[in-house]
Amino acid sequence: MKPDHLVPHSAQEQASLPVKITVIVFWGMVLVGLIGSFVLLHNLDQTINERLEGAADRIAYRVSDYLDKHPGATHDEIENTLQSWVSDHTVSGMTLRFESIAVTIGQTDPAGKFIERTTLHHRMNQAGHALARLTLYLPNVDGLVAVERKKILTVLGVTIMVFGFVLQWILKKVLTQPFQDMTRTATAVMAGNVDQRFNEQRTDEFGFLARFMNRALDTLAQHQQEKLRQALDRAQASEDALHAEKERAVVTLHSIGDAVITTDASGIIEYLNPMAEHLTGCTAASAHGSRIDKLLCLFEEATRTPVENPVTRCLRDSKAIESNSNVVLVRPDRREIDIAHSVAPIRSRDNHIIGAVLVLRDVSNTRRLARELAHQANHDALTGVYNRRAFAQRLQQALDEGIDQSARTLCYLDMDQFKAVNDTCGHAAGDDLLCQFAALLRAHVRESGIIARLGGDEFGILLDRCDEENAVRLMTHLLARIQEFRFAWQERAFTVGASIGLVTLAPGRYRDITDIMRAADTACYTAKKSGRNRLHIYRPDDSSLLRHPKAG
Amino acid sequence: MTERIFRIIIGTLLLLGLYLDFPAVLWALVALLVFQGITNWRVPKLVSRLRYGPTIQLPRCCAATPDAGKARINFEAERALCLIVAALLILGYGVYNAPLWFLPWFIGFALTAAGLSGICPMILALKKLGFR
Repeated sequence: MKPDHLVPHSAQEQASLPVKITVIVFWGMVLVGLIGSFVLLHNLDQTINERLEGAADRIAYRVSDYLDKHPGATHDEIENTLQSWVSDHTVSGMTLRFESIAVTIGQTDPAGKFIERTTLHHRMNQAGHALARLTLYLPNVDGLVAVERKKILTVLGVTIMVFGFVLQWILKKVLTQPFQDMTRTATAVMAGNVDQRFNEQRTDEFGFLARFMNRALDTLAQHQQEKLRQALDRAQASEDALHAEKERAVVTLHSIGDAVITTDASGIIEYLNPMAEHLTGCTAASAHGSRIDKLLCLFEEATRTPVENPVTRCLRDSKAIESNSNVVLVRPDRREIDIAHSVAPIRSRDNHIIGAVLVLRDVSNTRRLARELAHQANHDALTGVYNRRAFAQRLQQALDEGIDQSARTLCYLDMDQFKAVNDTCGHAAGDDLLCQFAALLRAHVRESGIIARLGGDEFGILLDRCDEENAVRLMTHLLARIQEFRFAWQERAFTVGASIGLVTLAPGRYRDITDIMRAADTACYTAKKSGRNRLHIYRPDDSSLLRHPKAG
Repeated sequence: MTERIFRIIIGTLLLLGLYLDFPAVLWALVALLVFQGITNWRVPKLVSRLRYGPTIQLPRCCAATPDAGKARINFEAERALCLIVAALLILGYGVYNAPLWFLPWFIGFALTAAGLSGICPMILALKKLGFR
């Protein structure tokens, strides 16, 4: 924005100089005309009267001279002569009385203004002298004054006006026009036409000013060009640095193993690195400009519920977000990939959010290994059912959740004849028997039941939402299936059985899982002591029985 | 027709009427100026509208007149000028001709000069007083 003192004035203000000059010239001339008129017209009537007096004297002198030179002139001769003189002088008429002669010429109004002159003349036909009386009748002085005024005013007015025009033209040439030319040039320069220069052709002060201002403009332009060049150099250097920085960033983004996606502030995708293309199954070109929600379909691994898009959440909450749960990405080809993600907002200099950067990492292998480790930690390596530790955890979890709404029942199974198979056919047969026995249990225990190998040939079954009656029915059925089961090993067949101790987890009955497991063990021992291959429901008085070494 | 040309015509006619002793011309001019002043139907405006249509905007006679937005009196300066000139002519030519004989001549020259130069001191003064 230009400073106020550099803003061009309006056209009217620009025209103020010629206007002022015109005012000064013309109205100065008018003033001069008024003064001149006053001087010329002052006492005009007196001047005219004096002029008339002079005219009367001149006529009287001529008449006297004529009468002296023509003493014998007749009336007609005198009248003809006077007639011509009246028209020569500014008189309306005259009357000459000389002896017996009386000559009247022109308008003779005795009521009007007149002048009388008397002269003495010698007469040739008579001795002595005679008097001649001349009366001159004057015209109306006011009329003469009016005519004179008109002449003076007209000549003065026209002369002054013409003089004023000439003066104005001269001033325009020497002052106004060069000044206006300079103003126009200055206006053009201020409007941005920096190549415009003032006219240096003149040799007067305007020429000097033009040369001075042109030199100043040249210097200014040179400085500006230098500054512009420096600014361009700086901009070029900045651009180069920026380009190098960008190249580094691009190469880095292309090289890293994480998928990186950037969006604008409204969640529109702007960039995907190659890993992101690989992970999402979309090319950068096809994804560019589309919404991030359409590219990423995420859901929770455990619950299979959709996960809110982290970029949308990050832009809404204006804070960085990291995944704290196992999230699965579903690609357009329906392939699922375990991912971990983190999102951070991108902020401008003034701390406004201008986008977000999303980093995705393929954690399929890690999560698979974690799952395997977790499985190994919780499952029996031989039979594939839960191990004692996981069983205890589930039991503890059941206790923590409370058992007042639906009863849970714990069954403690001790396989009969396992030791015989193991001893006669070897450990391999024993292991195979355990595997087949576990498979049998899995086949006949409903899905809600948790099966675990508690040790050796002992198994535990935790039946959820199963009261004692149903548990007895289920275990009885299981015992029947176990009795029907035949274990074949190298052309030998073995029948196996199981002793089952059944404990109902009634509220408040047991303090902890050790109590429960002890009760179940006791019930199982009681069943085994009662003749094997049977079911025994735990009763509080069973606790008096001591656990004896297993019979096998 | 612009106001400047109209001023030149009026001034010239006034001077011719005075020079040739045509009182009818002077009284006709007085009547025209009074008519313009009262009705604001000014001859330049009427002639221009007849020639170029009703939307024509006449240039200002006086180049140095201030903006119309500053006017305090809702009466056009040109109208006031017509009335003032007519009044001065009546005074100088009709009523007090003997002592004020110079007034019509002055007005004639002033109008002609204002038309030729484009600067009218009377308009400037009226605008300063607040006329529109």
